Amino acid sequence: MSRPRIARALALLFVVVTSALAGGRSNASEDAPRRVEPWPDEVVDLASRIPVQDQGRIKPLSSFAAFELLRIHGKRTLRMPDPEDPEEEIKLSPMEWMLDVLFYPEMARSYPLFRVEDRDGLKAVGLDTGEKRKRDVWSYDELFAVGKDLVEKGDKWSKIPQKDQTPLESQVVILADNWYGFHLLITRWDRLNLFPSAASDTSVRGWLSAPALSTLIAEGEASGLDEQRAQLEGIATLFDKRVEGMEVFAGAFEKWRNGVVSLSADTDETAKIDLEIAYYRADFFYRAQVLFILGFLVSIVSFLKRSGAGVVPTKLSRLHHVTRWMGIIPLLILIAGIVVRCVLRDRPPVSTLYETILFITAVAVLAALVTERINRQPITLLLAMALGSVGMFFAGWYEEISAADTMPKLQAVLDTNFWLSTHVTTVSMGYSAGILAAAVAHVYIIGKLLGLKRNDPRFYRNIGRMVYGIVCFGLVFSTVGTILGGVWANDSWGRFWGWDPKENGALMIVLVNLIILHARMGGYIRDWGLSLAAIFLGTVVAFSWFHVNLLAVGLHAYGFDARLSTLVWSYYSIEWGVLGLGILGYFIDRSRPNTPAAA
Amino acid sequence: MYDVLCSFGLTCVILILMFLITWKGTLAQVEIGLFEAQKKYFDSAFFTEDLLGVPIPVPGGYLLMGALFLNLLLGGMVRIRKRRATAGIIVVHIGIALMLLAGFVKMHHSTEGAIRFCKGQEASEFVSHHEWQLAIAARQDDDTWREYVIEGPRFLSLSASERATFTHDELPFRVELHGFARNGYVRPDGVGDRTSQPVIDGFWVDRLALNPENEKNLAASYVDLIPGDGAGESVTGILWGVGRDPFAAEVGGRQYTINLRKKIFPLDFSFRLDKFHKKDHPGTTMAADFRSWVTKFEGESRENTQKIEISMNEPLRHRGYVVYQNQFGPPDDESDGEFYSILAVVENPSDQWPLYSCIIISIGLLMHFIRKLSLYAKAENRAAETAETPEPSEVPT
Repeated sequence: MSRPRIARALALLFVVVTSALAGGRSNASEDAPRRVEPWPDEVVDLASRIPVQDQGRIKPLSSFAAFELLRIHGKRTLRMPDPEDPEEEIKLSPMEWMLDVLFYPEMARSYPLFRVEDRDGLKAVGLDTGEKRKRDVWSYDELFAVGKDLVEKGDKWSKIPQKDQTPLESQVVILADNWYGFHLLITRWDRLNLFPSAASDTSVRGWLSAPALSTLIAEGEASGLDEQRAQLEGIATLFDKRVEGMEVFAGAFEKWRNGVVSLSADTDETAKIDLEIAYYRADFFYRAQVLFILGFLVSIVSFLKRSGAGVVPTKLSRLHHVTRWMGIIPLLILIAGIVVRCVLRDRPPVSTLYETILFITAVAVLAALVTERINRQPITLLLAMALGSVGMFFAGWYEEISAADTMPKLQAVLDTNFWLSTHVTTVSMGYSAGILAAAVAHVYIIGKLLGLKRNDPRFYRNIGRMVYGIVCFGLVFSTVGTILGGVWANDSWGRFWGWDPKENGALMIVLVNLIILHARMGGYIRDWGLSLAAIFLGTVVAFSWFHVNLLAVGLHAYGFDARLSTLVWSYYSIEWGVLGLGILGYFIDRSRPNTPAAA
Repeated sequence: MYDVLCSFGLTCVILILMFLITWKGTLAQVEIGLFEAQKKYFDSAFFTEDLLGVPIPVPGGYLLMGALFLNLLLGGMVRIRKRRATAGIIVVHIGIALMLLAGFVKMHHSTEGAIRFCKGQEASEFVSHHEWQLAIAARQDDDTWREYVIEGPRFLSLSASERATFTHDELPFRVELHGFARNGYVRPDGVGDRTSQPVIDGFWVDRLALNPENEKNLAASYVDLIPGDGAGESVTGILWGVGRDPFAAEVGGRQYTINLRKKIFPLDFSFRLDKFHKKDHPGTTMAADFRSWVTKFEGESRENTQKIEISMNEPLRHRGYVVYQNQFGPPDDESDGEFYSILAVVENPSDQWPLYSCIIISIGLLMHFIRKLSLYAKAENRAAETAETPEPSEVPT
């Protein structure tokens, strides 16, 4: 056989192997090897640490698997009936699932994986949905028959602006994207860029997937990629080893995996793989959330136990000290998570929308704890815990609905740590203050409405002073942050102010802060008005933080998401409800005899 | 009157109105785009909003910011009590006044546009993003061209049925624009719904709805060149701001070109693009970095040259101009072909004023609120110290 023919044969080896084993058929082969025992922990751990290039960065395979599963399945684990015993349920971690996809595709293609919100989407592409429920999970094989139609329809409807898509169209676009992406992965290991290219400038070629490497070999352009080719061939060997049992497979896998890892061992690109794995395993934000919730429960007890809470105590109870620490510890965990992210990304704490949630929560909790240190009110601790719990829950929810890597590469204009660390962090601190002021104001309004501590005017005076202090804090950071944003824009685009929706949102926060403070200085509002205005400030923060991103115009349009939109509107509705009741409460309060209830 | 101008009440009213127009102008961008929204809500002295079908005049951003300037000048700097407690506030007000002033200067005295060039090309002018002009060039006896320019504000608001006439002593004809479209498309006869639009040399002007992204609106118009008495017949043509060849005509034995184009600003120097480089994040088409290497030439004899690198966040500031790396094209070009570079150019006398105002405002805010925080903490401590003493109402009787 001539050399070119050998090269071509080698090049196509991978495709042939995977095609024969996994692709090109609509149903899994009955005689294909099946994994009958769980993946050994060592295999899962070794596989997790394989570096892959995805979305412009090098990450561990475990991160790639986790976000793939989250995006397609909508959950962080895959639960399904055990194929051997349908009465039993098995649970696969993202990495176990990914190993099945890569090495037991005949099994993985029948896993109930694709979340379909409404089966009408599948009827629209001609699939008989049979016994399936309206909202159900479907396997790759079940969708295989309509795969082509699904992709075509999805492609057609993806051209409609996201905001104008019907729910059915939106669902089909997402499903088609997920199905086709999975199709490439399971049939060809496509999208899995495992092999660092020999080119010194990785920005030109980047890392290669198995099919891309095969093509290079076939075209005779793989000079200098001998090591990569050896690892490519090794995949075929691994497939052969499957029939010899898990122990034999595990041994072969370790050898192959070490070979793949050694391809990038000499580069800096993979230096943070272990840290990223440790970061996800540490699960900082979930742990912080659990502790905040516990702290919240304890702080309720602490708050209720204190009589005459409006009186500033000279000596704090032991429970108060315990509660304080129950806020400090999760805050430290949250800050630790943020710091690790900074190290992983070589970035300041805030460079994505997801990171704003973490940072704003941390600052709000910290500000609440500092306020508590000054005024020693248990209610402040309670609010710190509540904000921490809600913030961490929100971060998890947002990560789940966006189902995308939370450490993406940034656009060229954002590639400046100076402005990210000054403008973005400062303006985010302004957001934190707005949220905290609104939270404290709720205590005033709801307390008054429910008639709590009616005989404790000091309590409400304290709350009013807290709101005022936090609004002052917010004004400093939102003003400086907003102007710094303008200075950055002037430096990058040549205009200080462009009336972009995000800029306007920041300006609106500044304006509301100014209105509150000037109205208070002018004597137009007092504690009631201050609290009502602070609740309104909270809705303006929500508008600036999320709503303007949903408008699909301007420089900060991150795409419309119906679930986020629903959440924002729900928040508005609740807050407007509280405002309405608050205004009513004010007039009732004012009409009471002997009540000096200036607005 | 002076009391009103200085009052907190006026401050609150202005700030509330500013909040409302900012909110409205933000949401309006979804429908009418940034340019139109800015013009209507933020750059205007007044605009009207329909309330139950009745147009209500509302003060625009320009008026409100002017009023705010006056209010904080009189109330926040002149009338305010000058003492230690208000020092920070006065400093903040000075900073805000400077920022408002910077905005005013920018609005009235700045020019902005872009240079778009390929490797090896030279540019000594930049083209506006939004402003239009009508340029009439006359060929001179020595084969040079003399240009007469009519600025956009004189014809941009023309409706479909209106005509605008322009004359110049040196031109042997008057220029009449009609059937003007701020966003138009020139189509061959037989294509599209022409209705009553005239056909000139087999083409007609289709009036399109305005694109919310104003840069994408391409003006188009019919033009008549009507000679003075006895100087020949009228010539009618079509102008289209797509930037290709201008309309050419001969009147009275002299050649003329008429060009409907984005406004051109000359530079005091010129640039040559030596190299443009775009680097993507590996495995994606998202630009991680893009930058231009240019040579700057000064003076008639071009004896003064300088090699300069311009990139995102690192603009060139020179002789009152600021040159930024703005974009590149063609977008999504995956070929090995050369990209062209787009440099944004801004001439703004108040370029760095916002930075100075930011520093002043920060200092003022810190002065004021650190003092406030310290007073608050002291008050809390005092309260704690006296907490042991029950209030009169709490004393058991």
